[in-house]
Amino acid sequence: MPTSFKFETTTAPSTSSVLPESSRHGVQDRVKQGPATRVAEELTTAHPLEARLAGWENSQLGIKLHMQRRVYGLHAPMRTMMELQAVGQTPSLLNSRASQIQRDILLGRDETFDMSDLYNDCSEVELDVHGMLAAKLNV
Amino acid sequence: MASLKPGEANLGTTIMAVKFDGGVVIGADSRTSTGTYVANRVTDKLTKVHDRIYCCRSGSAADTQAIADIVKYYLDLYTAQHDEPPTVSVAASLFQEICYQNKGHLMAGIIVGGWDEQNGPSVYNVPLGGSLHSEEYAIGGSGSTYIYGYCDKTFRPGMSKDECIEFVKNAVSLAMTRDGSSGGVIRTAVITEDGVERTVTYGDQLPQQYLG
Repeated sequence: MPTSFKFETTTAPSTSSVLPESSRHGVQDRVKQGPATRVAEELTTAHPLEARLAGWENSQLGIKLHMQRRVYGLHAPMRTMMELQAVGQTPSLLNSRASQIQRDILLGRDETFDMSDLYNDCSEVELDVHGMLAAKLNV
Repeated sequence: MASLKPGEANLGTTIMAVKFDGGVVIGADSRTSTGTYVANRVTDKLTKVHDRIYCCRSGSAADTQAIADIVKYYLDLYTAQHDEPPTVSVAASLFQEICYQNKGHLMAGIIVGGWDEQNGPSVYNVPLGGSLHSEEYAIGGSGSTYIYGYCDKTFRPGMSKDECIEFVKNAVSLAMTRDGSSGGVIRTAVITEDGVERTVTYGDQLPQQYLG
C-alpha cells in the first residue's frame, strides 16, 4: 500500500532468465514453454515503459487507496481491499471479462467501455491447465 | 528536475492570477505546442478542480492534466466526507504534495486561485520544484518572464474587480506578443462567492500596444 502520492514506486525493470535458479528443474520445461527457439525472445531487454504499464492498474489503485486513507481514515483502504478480495480473484476456467462485473462495480469501471470490452483481451495469462490439474491431483 | 520528453506537448504559456476584495481573477493564453507546431490554439488552461477553486496549468500538458485529475478526485472525496467545500489552501497543498513528491518526473507549474468561506479569496503559486507560495498575485509559465517588470509596476493591493481584469488582460497580451510559446486568445475567469464568470478575449479585442 503506498504511503504517498509518488507515482512511480518500482525502480528497475525485471529481466527474464532461464538460469537454473529461476526454474524448478534448471532446464527448460518444454511442455509449458515450448521448444528451445523461444529462449531468444525471452532474453531481450524490455522497454522501460513496459514495466510501468504492466503495473499501471495496481499503481492507480494504490493512489486511490492512499487518497481514501487521507480523506476517510485508516479503515477505508482496508475495507476497499477486503471487498475486492471478497468478490474473488481465483483463476478458474470459467472466469472471463464479462463475469468480473462485481469487481468492475467496486473499481468504478462498470459504466465505462474500453478496448478490452470490445476485443478479446490477448494479454490475459494463459490458463496453465497442466499445472492446475497437477496441483489438484498432487502429481 | 525533468524536462519535456521527446514528443510531449508543451503548455509553454502565460498564466496569471490576481486577488481582489471578494474574489480572484485568473487568466491564461491558449497555445499548446509540440515543438514548433501549435497543437491547439484555443486551449483551456484554466481547469476547474472544485466549484470555487480553479488551477492554471503550465508546463507539460500531460503532467498537468494528470495532476489536476487527481486533485479534482481528492476534492470530491473531501467534500463527500466533510460535507462542505474544501478551502483553497487544501487544494494548493495537494498540488504541492504531488509536485514535490514526484519532482524528478514532472514538469508542472501551477497557480491555484479560488474563493472559500473561511479565508475569502486566495492565490497560491506552485512552481516547478514543488514549493508553495501564497501571494496577492501570481504569474507563471514561460511568458511570465517578460512581464515581471510590468506586473511589479502596475499592481497595487486594493484594486477593484474591473481593474484586476484589465491588469490580467494587459499583462497576458504583452507576454503573448513577446513569447513564442504563448498566443491565441486570452481566457479569463472571475471567481467569487456567487459563482464563476468565464470570458474569452479574441485577437481583435486584445489591448492596444506598440508592436515594434
